[in-house]
Amino acid sequence: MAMNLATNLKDAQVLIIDDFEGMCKMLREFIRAAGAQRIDTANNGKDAVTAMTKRKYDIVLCDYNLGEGKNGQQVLEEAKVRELIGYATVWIMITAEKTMDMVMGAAEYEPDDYLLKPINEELLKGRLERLIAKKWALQDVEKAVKRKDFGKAVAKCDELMKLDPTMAQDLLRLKARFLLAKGDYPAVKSLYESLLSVRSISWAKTGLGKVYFLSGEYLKAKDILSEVLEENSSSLETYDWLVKTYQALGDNEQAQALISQALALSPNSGPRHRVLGELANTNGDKDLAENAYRKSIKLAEHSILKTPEAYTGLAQLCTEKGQPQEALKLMADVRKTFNDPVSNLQAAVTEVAAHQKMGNSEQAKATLQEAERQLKGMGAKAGVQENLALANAMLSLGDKDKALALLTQVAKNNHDSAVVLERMDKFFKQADLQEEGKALLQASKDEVIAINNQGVRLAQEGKLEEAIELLRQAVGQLPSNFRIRLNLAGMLLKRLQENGKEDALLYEARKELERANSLRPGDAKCLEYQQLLDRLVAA
Amino acid sequence: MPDCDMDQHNKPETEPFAFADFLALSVHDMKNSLGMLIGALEQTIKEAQVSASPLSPQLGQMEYEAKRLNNNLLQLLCIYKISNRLYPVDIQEHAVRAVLEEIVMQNRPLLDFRGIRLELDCQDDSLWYFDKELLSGALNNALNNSIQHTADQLRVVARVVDGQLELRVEDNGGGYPEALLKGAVAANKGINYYRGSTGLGMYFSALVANLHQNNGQGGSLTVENGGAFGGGCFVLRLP
Repeated sequence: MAMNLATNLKDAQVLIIDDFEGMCKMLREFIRAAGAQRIDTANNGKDAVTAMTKRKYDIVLCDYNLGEGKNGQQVLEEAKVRELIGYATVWIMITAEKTMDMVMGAAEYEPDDYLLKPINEELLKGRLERLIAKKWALQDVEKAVKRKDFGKAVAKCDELMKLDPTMAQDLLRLKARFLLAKGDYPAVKSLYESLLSVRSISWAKTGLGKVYFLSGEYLKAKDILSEVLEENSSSLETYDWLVKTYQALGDNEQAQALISQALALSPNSGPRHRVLGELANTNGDKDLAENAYRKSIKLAEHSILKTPEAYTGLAQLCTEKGQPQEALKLMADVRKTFNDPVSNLQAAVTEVAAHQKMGNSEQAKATLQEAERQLKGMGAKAGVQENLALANAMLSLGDKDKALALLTQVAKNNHDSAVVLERMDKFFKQADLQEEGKALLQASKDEVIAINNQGVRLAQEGKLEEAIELLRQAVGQLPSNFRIRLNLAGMLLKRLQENGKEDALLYEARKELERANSLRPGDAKCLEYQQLLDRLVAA
Repeated sequence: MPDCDMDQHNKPETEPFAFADFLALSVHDMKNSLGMLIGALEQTIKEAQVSASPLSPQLGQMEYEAKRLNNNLLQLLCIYKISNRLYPVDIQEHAVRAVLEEIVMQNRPLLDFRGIRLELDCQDDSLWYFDKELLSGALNNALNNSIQHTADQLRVVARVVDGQLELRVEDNGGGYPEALLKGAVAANKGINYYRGSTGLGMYFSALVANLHQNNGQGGSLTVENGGAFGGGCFVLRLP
């Protein structure tokens, strides 16, 4: 690589973030000696973010530990989410010792590298040289990613691997990440399996466990992820996926034990404390749950990635133990802090219960109406979780008919998803509506299957136009139904094959497949259709 | 804010503040100070070299001692974490040469100051699986030792021998004393009892070797006399 660090650094904008003035000064000396001239410093996360809004930096040296306020990781996350830094920015995180968080996984918000103290000029120079060269080599890959052209990104990775085998490890990881983003589970699986046939590599095992989980093969996921833990070489990602796996398998006790272990290894994760809160709540340990939710809220205070779940979880606990006032206060916080449709809906539903507990039924009814409006406004974006929460609030206010109508819609939208139907079955049990619920689920299922079958029959009889029209209507009524969208795409493809290319239909098929894939990522049939569509477009 | 603190103090029975944890925290803190001290020393040495002002040889000694302290603290912290299963062992494929170059860079100011020549013997395309930080800890310790005991030459060698990565640090000093040669073998078995040294470095390096396992094969540590320069050789083998 023909490259001179000093030339590269001469015009580079450098930002040094460290709460310790002495360290800032030292790093400034080092990087100046390496050839940099434009160097800014910030002593805390807030100032660092402000500096990044004013200037585009090429290199950021950031201490992980920044005292009060945001830590280094939270500064990085905010910079990435708000696009204050671009892909070309080299971000080096400086830490005093190796921690669990430093074990690189496939996490989205990783720095380019970690540097352990003590640091000297030579070390910093050497590392920067390598990182800049790496950015350079990967720029085509990144361009493809930016366009969401993951097929191209994978091809570029393969090309680079041939050119420079020492980059293979990084490239293989990237490749796996892109294949996963494409939803091509079989390809990711075989990539990991071929790596593992040579040597036991923990990140590949963790990756394979993740793919098993995503394809619903929970027992296989459990086995391989547990293996990584036993080999004492796990990353936090391993824990996270194993926790999810145990949850999926219904073993919430084991899931709680594991998330506690992960928190012992890395105690400062807001999202993991929230998961602990949820699990402890499910397992009946209300005190632990409350404590965990509070920690989660506190830890995420300065994080741009915080979510309202810890607040609503805590608020529910507060209402349960007779402190609805605090619940309302928490929800006021949520509305103020997050103020997006999903959060407002969650807040409203949680408030309904609090108002009710306070005996304030008028207020409860008004809030429920607001929640209904929120859900309507969300359209197909409303998930099963939001719908069930709202149905629950309706039931608690005695509005059974409305609740059942809403639940019927959810069931129809998910008529072939065992996970959702099981979840709804549980919901009915808890609401003491088991028999009624069973009938509702069955009727919804039958109705959608009938529509689907009619479509297929029409297509077989050669009435493809009619079939497509039928399914288009069904999609309009059940916008979150994966199977109907997929079948509509299939028929559009058939039509394209028979009658030749037509832009409007190509566009429609592409859109349906994208929506289907976002509803249920990684479905084999969906992938097959996507490849068929690619071939049709290319032909 | 005060509420938060009270919370922790109120339940000592569930979360006892163990002495070992206190020690680990202090070690972490001391490492920060040492990092600053080493940085300041290196800068002082460099500035003096640039302005060609006469340097006290004691500066070199000071840096050596500061590095030694830093290595020791790092090893203590790692051993504490490993034995409590809190250390994130992270065995990954690395470009061996790049990692070795970094380790040499970390020691460059001291080597230059003492006029020690160091050669690095490693293929450009050599790749191997190891925990980078643990390996760096062990090799930094070996280099620091050799810098103290060598006459004026050092060699760091990496090569694949019998399906294992063999890493050697060789010097042209007087070699290891008999007791140490035995001690290293003992350290491999998890025992350390030899005289004249706490044995921390050897114990740590043997632990590092042991944490590297592949297909039933474990790493190993040996020290011997001889090598290219006839001095001491520190040899770490990783499967």
